Amino acid sequence: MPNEIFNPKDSKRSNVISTADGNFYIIYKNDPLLLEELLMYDAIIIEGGDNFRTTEVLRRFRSHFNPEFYLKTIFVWGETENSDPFIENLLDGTILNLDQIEIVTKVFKKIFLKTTELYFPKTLSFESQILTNLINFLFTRDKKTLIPHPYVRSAIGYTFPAISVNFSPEEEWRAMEILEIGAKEGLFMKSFYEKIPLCPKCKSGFLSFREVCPKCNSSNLSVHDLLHHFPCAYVGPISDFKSDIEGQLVCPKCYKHLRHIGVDYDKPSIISTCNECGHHFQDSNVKAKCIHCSSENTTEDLQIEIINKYQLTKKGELVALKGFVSSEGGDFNSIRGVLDLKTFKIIVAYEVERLRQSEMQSNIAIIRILHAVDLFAKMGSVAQKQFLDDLITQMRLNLRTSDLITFYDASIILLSINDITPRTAGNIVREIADMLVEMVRENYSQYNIEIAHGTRELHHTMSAEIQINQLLDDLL
Amino acid sequence: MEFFDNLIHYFQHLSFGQFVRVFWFFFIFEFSRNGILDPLVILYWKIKKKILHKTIERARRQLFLENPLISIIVPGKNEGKHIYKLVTSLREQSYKNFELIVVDDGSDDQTRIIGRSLERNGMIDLFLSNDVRGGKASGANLALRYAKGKYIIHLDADCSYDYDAMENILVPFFFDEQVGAVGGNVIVRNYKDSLATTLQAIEYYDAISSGRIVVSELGLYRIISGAFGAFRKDILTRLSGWDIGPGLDGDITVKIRKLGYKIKFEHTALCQTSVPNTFKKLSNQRKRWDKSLVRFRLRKHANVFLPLKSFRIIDFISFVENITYNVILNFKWYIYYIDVFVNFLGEAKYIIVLNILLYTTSNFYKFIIYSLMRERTNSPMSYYLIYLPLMVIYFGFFIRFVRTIAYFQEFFLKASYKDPWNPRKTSIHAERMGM
Repeated sequence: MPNEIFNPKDSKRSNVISTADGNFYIIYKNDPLLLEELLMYDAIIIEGGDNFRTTEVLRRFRSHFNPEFYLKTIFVWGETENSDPFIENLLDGTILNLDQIEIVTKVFKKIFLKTTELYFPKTLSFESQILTNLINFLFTRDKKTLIPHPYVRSAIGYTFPAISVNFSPEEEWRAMEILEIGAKEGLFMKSFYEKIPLCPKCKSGFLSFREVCPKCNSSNLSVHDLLHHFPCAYVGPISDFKSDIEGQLVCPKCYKHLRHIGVDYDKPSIISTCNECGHHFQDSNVKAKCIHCSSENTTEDLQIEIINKYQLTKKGELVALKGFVSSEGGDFNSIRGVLDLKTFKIIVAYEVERLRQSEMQSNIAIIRILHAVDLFAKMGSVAQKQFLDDLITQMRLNLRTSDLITFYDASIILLSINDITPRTAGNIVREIADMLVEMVRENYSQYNIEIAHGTRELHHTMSAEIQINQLLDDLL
Repeated sequence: MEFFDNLIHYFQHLSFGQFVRVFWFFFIFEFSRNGILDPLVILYWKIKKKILHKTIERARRQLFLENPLISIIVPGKNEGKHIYKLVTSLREQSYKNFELIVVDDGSDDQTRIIGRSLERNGMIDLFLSNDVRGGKASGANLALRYAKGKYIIHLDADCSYDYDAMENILVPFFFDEQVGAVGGNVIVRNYKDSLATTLQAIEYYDAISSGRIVVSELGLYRIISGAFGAFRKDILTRLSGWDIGPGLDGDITVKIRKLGYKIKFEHTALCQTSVPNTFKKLSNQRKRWDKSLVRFRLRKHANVFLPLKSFRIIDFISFVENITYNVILNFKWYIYYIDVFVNFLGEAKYIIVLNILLYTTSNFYKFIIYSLMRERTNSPMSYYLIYLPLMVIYFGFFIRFVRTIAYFQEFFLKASYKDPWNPRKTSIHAERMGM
């Protein structure tokens, strides 16, 4: 039996189970989900019975950019239907009662051991980050394949839970885009699974295919058989042949009863009539109405996408152990005016040395784009690169050429501002932050960003590495 | 040479009475009609046209003032290769307010693909395609069922039309309210293809263009060609469209006549068609036409000859004229030659040659007279002159022989019901009902 050591909610039920092998936190159905408070626990156990809630909790964990969250061992306790692909793919297991806690322990240990082998590189590229997270997740779970699952809540109708968890259902196509990058980089081997039509405007796969009138596009159509009465050569829709006696057909031209199909009459074709504009036609147009954005498109205009399944390659497995930096536009060095992090740290270390021998004052600063994950997910890789380019260009306008800029990761920029007082440096950084917000408002009006910033004076008494880490800790 | 000396001697010593006795067939049926009556009627028509010029122009203005919607219907099987040309030529028409309905009667070529594509591009207003063939009448009736126009113009897909052909064929409706249908003027497009097509071109010049002016003026016009004919929609609807063919063109014309409407020929509404380019194909076509004459005139519409409630003297004359010149004279010709061989056996060879000379002279005379009165042609008159002597062989022997076979086949075997031109599933009913 597990020991209870902590019960933050009430005295009757316990959220924490502590064993010799680890501490596990139980999230009950109605508990508020305070994710940051759960960092310290080794595994999470979600009370089952509410698939929606379970999916929601899984999404919160697995989409987090901190490996300690997205790699967390998560179980469900109690009955659950695995019909939801997210539950099926993102959960580490199910226990029927808390007596089975050793199962959780076993799985947690295995995942933990695997996690210790991982390498977490710092990367600017959102795509690289997502791919790293995905591969780390697969590696720690001994999984090698990503199979698309039909999923009604996904905009394209399919989902890859392990990666799609990072995106809203409307942005499912971004998951596919990133998987394609992974395949191009040789991390995955792709093979055909399905071909699907998507709305060219919003990329939704929820399309309603309808036959419509070629003149007015109405789907209010009536379709009738055409009848040909052999003896008199009359041809018309079946309604022309309807008589007062139900089921009996009478030719409107010669008033004879139609008796035997193939002998005295046949049905050579059909005809459609539009109930809106009265147009007659045989060849109706097929239009796809997007359930998501309501746009109407011809089948020729639809965007045809191939849904692939992906198999992790050897190179992909190595990414988990050595890290991955995308070769495609995702790296800091390709942005003009920035140094790579390693060089930045070396130069700051030299600056610390220089301060030891002089009376000068130098500073390091941090600028952090809040909610960068959401922002970059919406942007896509090309727009993201352009956005960061613009950001750095703006910053450079307010800095001297001797000041240094580097990316810590996709959302964190570090600065080295030398030979000025901390106060002046702080003012410069604040102005830069305000200016960046303004720039985004003007040039990227569809996005909202918030920026946090901080400045710290460099001291010759501490190493550059420690001072940079402290600056990061202060802000994060 | 001795033969020609004897021939001239024989001719010189014939008295007028003997001349008429020996060449009675030519005098009664050829000279009286083609030499006197027809040129006189054409002259009358020319003068009338001049006098009524302003009234005709008023009718034309009325047409454009009213600007009614016209439904151009084109039923056919495996006509895909002709449709695009037809559609583009129709776009050049001076009369613009028309809808184009093309019916594909169970084609087994690319017709459906071509038709659908043209419909999607807006070049055809309605393309109706039947999976199984139903025959020309069913195709035309299907188009009629969905036609919205006040007038229906029936075309053949393999024909082409003068830019003002649609306009001209509609004018008679605005000239006389009693006009129920108007036939267009069909001339031969491929007249240079072969001897068969050249001779047919001369025949169309004569019998079809000029001959129809005459019968139209006399109120006897009785067949509107399926290649180009205009009809009042209300009349076609009243008749519930066309009946089973072959010969449905003549049948519908007679049915309209029986309702008391006038049928007019409009020689300025010009259509060019391709005629059979071999004598074998021509023979098959003519046999079909001739069989339908027996089937419709003498069988289906025989009540025209009876003094019933719907009896009209003009219809009676029209039928009599038609049957006389096509059926009776055909057999009378054999009687004439029996007469020659029985009564003038020694002079028979001179009589035959003189007959040929007389008919050839008559053909030149007709051709020159009609050519002088003709307003529109697609070929120089001189082109045909060297072929004119062959018309005696063509008309006097070839066409007569084909006709004779056709009449026998239809009289005794009812062969038209077995003609593959019409699907058997429909012909079997027509035969059973005597239609």
